[in-house]
Amino acid sequence: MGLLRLDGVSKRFRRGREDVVALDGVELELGAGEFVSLVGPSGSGKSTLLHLAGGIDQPDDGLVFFDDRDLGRLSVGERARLRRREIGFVFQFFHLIPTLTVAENVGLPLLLDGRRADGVVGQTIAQVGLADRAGHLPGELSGGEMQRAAIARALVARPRLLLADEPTGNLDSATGKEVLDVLVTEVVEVGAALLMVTHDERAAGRAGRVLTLRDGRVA
Amino acid sequence: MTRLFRLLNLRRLRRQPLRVSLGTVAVAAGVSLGVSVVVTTTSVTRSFAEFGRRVAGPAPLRVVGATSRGGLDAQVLATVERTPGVAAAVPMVQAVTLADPGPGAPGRSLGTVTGRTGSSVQPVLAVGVDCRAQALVPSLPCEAGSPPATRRAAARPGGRLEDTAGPAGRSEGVAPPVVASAVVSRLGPDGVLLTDNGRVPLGGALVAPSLDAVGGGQVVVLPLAEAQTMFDRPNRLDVVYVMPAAGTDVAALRQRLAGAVGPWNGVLRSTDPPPAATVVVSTLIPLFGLMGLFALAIAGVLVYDAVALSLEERRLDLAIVAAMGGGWRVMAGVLAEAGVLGLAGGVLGTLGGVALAQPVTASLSGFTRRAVGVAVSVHVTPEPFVLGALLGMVLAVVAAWLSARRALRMDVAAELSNRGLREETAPRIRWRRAALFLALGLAGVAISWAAGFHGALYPWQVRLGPVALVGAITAFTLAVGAAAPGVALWVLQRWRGRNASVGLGLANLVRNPGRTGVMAVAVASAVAIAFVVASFDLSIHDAVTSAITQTSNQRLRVSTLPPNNAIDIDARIPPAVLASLRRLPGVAGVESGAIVGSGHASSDLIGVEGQDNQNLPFDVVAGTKDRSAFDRGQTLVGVGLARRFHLRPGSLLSLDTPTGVAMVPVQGVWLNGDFAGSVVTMPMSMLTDLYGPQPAGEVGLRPSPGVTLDQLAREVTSANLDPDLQVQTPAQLAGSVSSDVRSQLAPFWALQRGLLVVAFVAVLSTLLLVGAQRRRELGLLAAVGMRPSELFLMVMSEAAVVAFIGVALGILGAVGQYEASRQVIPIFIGYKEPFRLAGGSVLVYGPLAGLVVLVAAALPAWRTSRMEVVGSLRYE
Repeated sequence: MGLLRLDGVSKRFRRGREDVVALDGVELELGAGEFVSLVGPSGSGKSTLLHLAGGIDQPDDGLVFFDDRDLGRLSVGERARLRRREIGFVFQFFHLIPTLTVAENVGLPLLLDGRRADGVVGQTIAQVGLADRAGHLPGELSGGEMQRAAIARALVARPRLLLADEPTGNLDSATGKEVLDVLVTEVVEVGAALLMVTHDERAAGRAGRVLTLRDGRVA
Repeated sequence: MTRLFRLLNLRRLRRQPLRVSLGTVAVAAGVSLGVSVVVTTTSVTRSFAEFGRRVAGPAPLRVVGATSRGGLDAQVLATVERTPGVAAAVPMVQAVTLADPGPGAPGRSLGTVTGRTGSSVQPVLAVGVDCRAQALVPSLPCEAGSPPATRRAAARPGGRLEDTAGPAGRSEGVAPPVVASAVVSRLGPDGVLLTDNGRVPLGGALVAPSLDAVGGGQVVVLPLAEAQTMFDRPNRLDVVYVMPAAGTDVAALRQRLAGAVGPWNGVLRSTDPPPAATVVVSTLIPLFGLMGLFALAIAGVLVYDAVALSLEERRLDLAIVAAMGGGWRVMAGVLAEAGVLGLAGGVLGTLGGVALAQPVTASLSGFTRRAVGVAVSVHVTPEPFVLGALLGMVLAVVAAWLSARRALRMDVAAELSNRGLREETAPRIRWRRAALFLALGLAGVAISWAAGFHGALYPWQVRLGPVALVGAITAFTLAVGAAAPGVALWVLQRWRGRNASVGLGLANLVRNPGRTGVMAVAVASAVAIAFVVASFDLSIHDAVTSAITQTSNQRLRVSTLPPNNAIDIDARIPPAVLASLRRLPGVAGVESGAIVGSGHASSDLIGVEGQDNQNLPFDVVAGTKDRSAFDRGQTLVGVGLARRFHLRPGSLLSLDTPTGVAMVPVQGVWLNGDFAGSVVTMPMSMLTDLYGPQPAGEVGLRPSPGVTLDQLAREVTSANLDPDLQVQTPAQLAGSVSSDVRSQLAPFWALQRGLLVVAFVAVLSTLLLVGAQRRRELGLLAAVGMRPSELFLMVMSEAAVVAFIGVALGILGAVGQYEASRQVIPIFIGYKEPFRLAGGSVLVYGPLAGLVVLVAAALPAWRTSRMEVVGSLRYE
């Protein structure tokens, strides 16, 4: 059995007076340590799929399993605990908390889990090449540095699954490549699975498997 | 968890001092009003307890009579002394009278306390004691046959009665009084003590600085026999203090004494307040408390709004933390953050409450000094600080709880992918909700009317009234909040195509109905309170004028006392002066009246009024007010008394008198507001039969045919019968009584000022926070060419429209709130004011509230106009 499994997952949104189908009976499976890219046009439901996979949203139909646990049967608190310990997120717009330093942002998942965050935080920051920027606020970093900090934050709890939503989408190509190198290297290092949404074909090509999402379905 | 709280919450507080200040001030504004009520109540209780301890020394009990002045028959003293367990009984006269600085004293031209024209006389407590007071004060020097006050004693701290110092002396054959140094410093060398039998110079009195600690320092001590003579208490006492024998159980002794002295007398603890003092206190405090609660509710809405805006501003941060598995920790952090703000606001609010309690307490003190000679001063104890801090924390945490719960329920996925923004649609204007609240408010008025019907003779009406009043006030307030965005929309629809900045400001108000409602409610509350108080002010004036015109028509009031709240002041018309008045040319007759306070506990206090006047001015709600039946002893009772003792026409009222219990027949129930409606009115002769001859506090002179009141007034004045004699026509009397009654509205005006501050904070904080939240949008407006002045105008126009809506809706809501109050307040005061709306107050307080709002909006508008465009566009 895979680490992550989506079983006939559908998701609809209401936009004004209109119902929009974001996902329509999606089937997907991701094994432990596997690297899968998800590509597709804008509005095809890629980010929605990632949110469902991470348990921060609920499908209208279908089931999402993480390590054979049906996320729909878990309470809000249990899903939160799962995200703290097993899942890491990397977003296109970094989503760092502006009032916290790099070290504090990176250590946040551990703090939320009630764990000490001293040694491992420094180590993770060093792994992404930001050792000299640990005390800086996000506003003082470049885009690439911010995304590296976000990667460090996603990896600091040593998750089994990393969900990355266009991690290079907001960066120039050189910086994007650099960040992607860091992401892939570190994911391999911790042995996590990676599901990455991207528009970038070259980035997608680095995955072991590439899935295409079109009109809410995996083509 | 602590580190998480420090990182996510405390750091935010530290980095946003302005927002923290505003949140803190919002909490403080609400807490201060609530705390001021607590501080005032505590101050009243403590002031009386302290006075009791100072006067009684170690004596734990006191025996009091059936009436507030001279109510104890002197024979009771022997009864008390004979009671087993009594070591000593100390008789005392405690008369409230006036002290006058004399004709040559500077500052004599203003009468601020008594309302008397041309005099700055002050209420003082005259205490009469004899050598038996040594039982309370063993060190009291006293020789047989001599009053203690004629002996010199070393001054000691503590402010007890024995601490006298200074030269002894006599004047005009009267034993020299002992006075507090505060009295001397206030009156100067020519000070005079007014009594029921003339004036006593205080120039040669012994001065006791330590008496300054008793009753606010306005104390004069006299020999007992002199006090009985000067204050018209032949064989009468005011109080007997009781020292128990060693080993006696005080509670058991109290019971024995109560059985021995008879049910018409009472046995109280030394520190219990005199019942007369509780009349205004028990009326004013609940009303003020009600308004304090109202203000607290507004502050709660303010805090809720501030917290909600703050959370909304960091929605993304919260979403990020939630995505990382933050869960309940987000909620706990937000609540703890609010708790910290609430704690700071609570402590700050307590300081504000102590400050606000000063004018309220001063207003109460003016009454208690006249009623029982005891000044009430502000007592600050640790309890209000604990209460204020807790109140602030609870207020902030409850307000934050609602916002935090909503924040936790947010769609994290939508927030992280900006879908929330795309889904933002125009909010619905909820006219239906406004209509519902309006209907509830009107229902509240109708129920208030039912509760106050016929003076609220039935207990269910008393229970229903306050609930209906609170309901009506709340519903009208909420109706203002619900209707405000709709009115803004109405204005916007008529503004289209004109100034774009103003149009954008209006659109902002429509787009955020919750915030618009909060700001409008804050403004409306301040204006509504002003309108309601001003309307009561007007109706009080008209009611007083009407009652006095009916009662005193073609009568000239002549008195040595202030016209209102002076029933216990023993500075009445001396008998010789009264006799001279009867003989003056142009006087056809002299009508006298008197009021006696009967009852020895606040729960059984009854005002007993005797009058010769032929007019019975108040409306009857049950039975009749037949004059001939009245003259035969068929009395009229106030609604408060009728309700308390279930009195109806034909009932018999049981009255305590100095010699026993008397039963008097009732012919009707009427709306007489004296003693808050706990009053019985009877012919003067009947009152004299029951309570003995009463010195005349005031008389009504009937002019002879062909003599006008003005001519008679000139006649009385030119006769120079007594320097303290005041002469007033009905119009002058109405003016001074209504002025005195209106002065009791001072606490409500203080509350109104407080609400203006709340409105200021509400508008300032809301517009600042909204400005921060809309930073990107504002940056966009600037980027597409909006000038700083136009941005400034946009924010100011929002404020101006909010002020306009708040004032307009506030006045409309206030009419309902005023009518509900007018129906329910008679339950507490026993008198119903006529319906009068102070339209003129709108012209004063409407612009004032508008100005406050515009001043509050100036800072947010200035910040908006100086916004850094590029930085704002990068925001988030």
